[in-house]
Amino acid sequence: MKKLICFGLSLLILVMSACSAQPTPSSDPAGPSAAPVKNELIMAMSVDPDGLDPQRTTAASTFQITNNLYEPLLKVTTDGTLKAGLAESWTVSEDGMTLTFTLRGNAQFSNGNPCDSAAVIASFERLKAEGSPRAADYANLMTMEAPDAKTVVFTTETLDVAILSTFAYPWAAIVDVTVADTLKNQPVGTGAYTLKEWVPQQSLTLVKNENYPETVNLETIQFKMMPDAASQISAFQNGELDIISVSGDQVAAFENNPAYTVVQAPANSLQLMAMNLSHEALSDLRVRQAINYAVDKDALIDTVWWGYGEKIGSHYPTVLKEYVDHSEDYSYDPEMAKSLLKEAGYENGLTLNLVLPKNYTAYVNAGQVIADQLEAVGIHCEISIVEWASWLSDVYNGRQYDLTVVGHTGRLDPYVLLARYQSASSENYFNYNNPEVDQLLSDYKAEGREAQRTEIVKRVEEILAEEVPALYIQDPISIYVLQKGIEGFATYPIDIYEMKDVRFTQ
Amino acid sequence: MKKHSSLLPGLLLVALILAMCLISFFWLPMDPNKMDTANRFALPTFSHWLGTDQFGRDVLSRVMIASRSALLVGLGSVSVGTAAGLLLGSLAAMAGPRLQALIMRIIDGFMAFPGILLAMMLVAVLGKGLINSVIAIGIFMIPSFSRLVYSMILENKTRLYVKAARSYGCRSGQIVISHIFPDMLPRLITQFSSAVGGAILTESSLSFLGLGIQPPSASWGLMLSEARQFVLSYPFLAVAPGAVLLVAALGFNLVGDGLNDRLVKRGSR
Repeated sequence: MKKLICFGLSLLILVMSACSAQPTPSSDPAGPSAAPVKNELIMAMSVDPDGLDPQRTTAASTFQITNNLYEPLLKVTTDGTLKAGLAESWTVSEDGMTLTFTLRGNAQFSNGNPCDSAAVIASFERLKAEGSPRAADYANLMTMEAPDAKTVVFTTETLDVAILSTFAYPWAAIVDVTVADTLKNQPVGTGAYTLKEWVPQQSLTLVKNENYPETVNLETIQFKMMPDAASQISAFQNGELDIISVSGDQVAAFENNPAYTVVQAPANSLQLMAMNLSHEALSDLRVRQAINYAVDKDALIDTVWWGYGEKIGSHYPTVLKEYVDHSEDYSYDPEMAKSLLKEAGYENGLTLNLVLPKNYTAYVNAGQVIADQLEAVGIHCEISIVEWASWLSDVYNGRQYDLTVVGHTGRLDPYVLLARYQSASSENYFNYNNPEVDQLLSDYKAEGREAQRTEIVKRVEEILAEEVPALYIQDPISIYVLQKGIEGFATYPIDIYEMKDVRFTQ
Repeated sequence: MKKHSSLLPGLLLVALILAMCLISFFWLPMDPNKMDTANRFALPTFSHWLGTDQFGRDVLSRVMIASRSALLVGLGSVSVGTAAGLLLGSLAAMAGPRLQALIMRIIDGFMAFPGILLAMMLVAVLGKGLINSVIAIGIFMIPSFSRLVYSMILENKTRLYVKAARSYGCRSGQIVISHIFPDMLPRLITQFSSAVGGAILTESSLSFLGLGIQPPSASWGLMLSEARQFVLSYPFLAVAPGAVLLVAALGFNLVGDGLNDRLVKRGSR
């Protein structure tokens, strides 16, 4: 009995101390009201960057940071339009094969080396060299010339109307090749920030680059390594972090709270359930239509993504300007689905395998909801959950599957996004084959006029929406929560942070 | 009464799990895989006694149906382990020194391997699923049973009754089966019961890691793993599968302990 009382007492003390400890840290960061405006920002990162050399990585977590250390020739606005980066102006020749960039005057790397046209060419040569994971994307740049210190001229081998956007990706950033060997740990670029300190697995600190020509608001930015979402949220609530990324189920804790600002924007990517058209049943348009009619996308998005997603009906993200809304083309109608299946000769049921990539919890959850909805119209799904590596080899490259749920990250140019629907594309894991689409896409590559290109993209969207080689689910919404008083934080159609625009107002 | 204090509560807990499993064959509150997305993360109500999960499936039905696979894997894998352990242990104990050394060194090698790692490796080789979980955890149980059988036979081998049997012309196999085995039974039963608790936990760990029972089928480990995604927003989701898992593991271990007190210690005195 005595023991029990002791235990009870210690429990009580524990609970009381936990309760009393909470208010102290939250009142701390606010500080005295007369304090000067903060100029240090702290963010969390879930994955440590694999080095800070943008030309030798494919990791999104790395580009989010390197985009602030280096600059590409061109940059993007929040809606995907190209704007000046390191190059202050650019022209494209009449035939579309020659691109001329004029660099910003007196640009220099953070180590003091001049960033002239020769340095830009050296940087692109390194991007095209062996060991660069994106080399193939730039193989079309045949010659690179520097008529003077401020001008760089690129000539392409074949016409590629999408080429301009490739100069805006974070991996096309200009690096100082004279220190190429140490870029991984000592980044040297022309960006708004320079690296102050990097303690792997702990934190990474950037300081303002004093030579940067534009306004840079914050003195320092610190990225803290925190792999666990729960610990990120509690650190944020204690005021130890200024910006965090959250999932849909956690938003409720921050909404309608004046201490926080919730920022949400479509992520320029696509999530879909691909169908393998080489499967006998799925090659029948009626079966694919039935699957589209059978799934209630609104309920699916509500269940899996908590409603944070924009329903789509074709292979096109909502943020890009060529987007056409096809999301209601096959609206939820299980009776229609059943009659289409009957027409196609599957009134006695159909069994399909559904492969889900284990690492992506949302896709695994979405697959289960879809399977449940398909069951209701008589399509039985045998679910198998596989590792990402075997998904890539068996499903994406081997095309051994019937149905699979996956996401596609967005790009800046429509062609790169839609090219996989060409019957000969190695990335056409749908086994989709439509001569009209093939023709449209090859026309697109050679079409110089903007208006015509937009028409082609819209037509391809329409065909895909009608023939549904996949169940197009949604363009997901990314959600960030900011402490009150932070302005200028924006999301872009490519996965980058532009930290120089971020500032505190109080 | 005081001596065997853990047997009765243990039996009660095990009976609870067994009853849940038996009832699940005749009656379930709801279809355990039926989703109701409009009514998810519900707290306990009259229609859903333990609430609903992230897809609006009834948690009680899922906990009940999962008890089948937990018991199947628990009892099945330990039976595999016991059978193979009996065979290997008695073979080693009755064989010549060379074969004995060979078998026991292999067993020692297996024992040096962390158990869950061995089970994960086997699942990776055999593939996921219920039956493969039984085999993998069964193999992971073999070393401890073999060692137990081996040591007990060695212990009895020099006893007078065995010598007497041998002098009457009994062969090794017959001695083990009809003379030593009855003597081993209490300790085997004890070990069996404790091992079932461990096997159920291992099965849950495998399912938690995504290597055991595959969704949408229910398993306690899988339910915990799903609940973990929402532990900040809906902590209640983890309570039911966690509690049942605790009851099952605790129950079988208490029974093992109680049997040990009752059968083995008294028997050896």
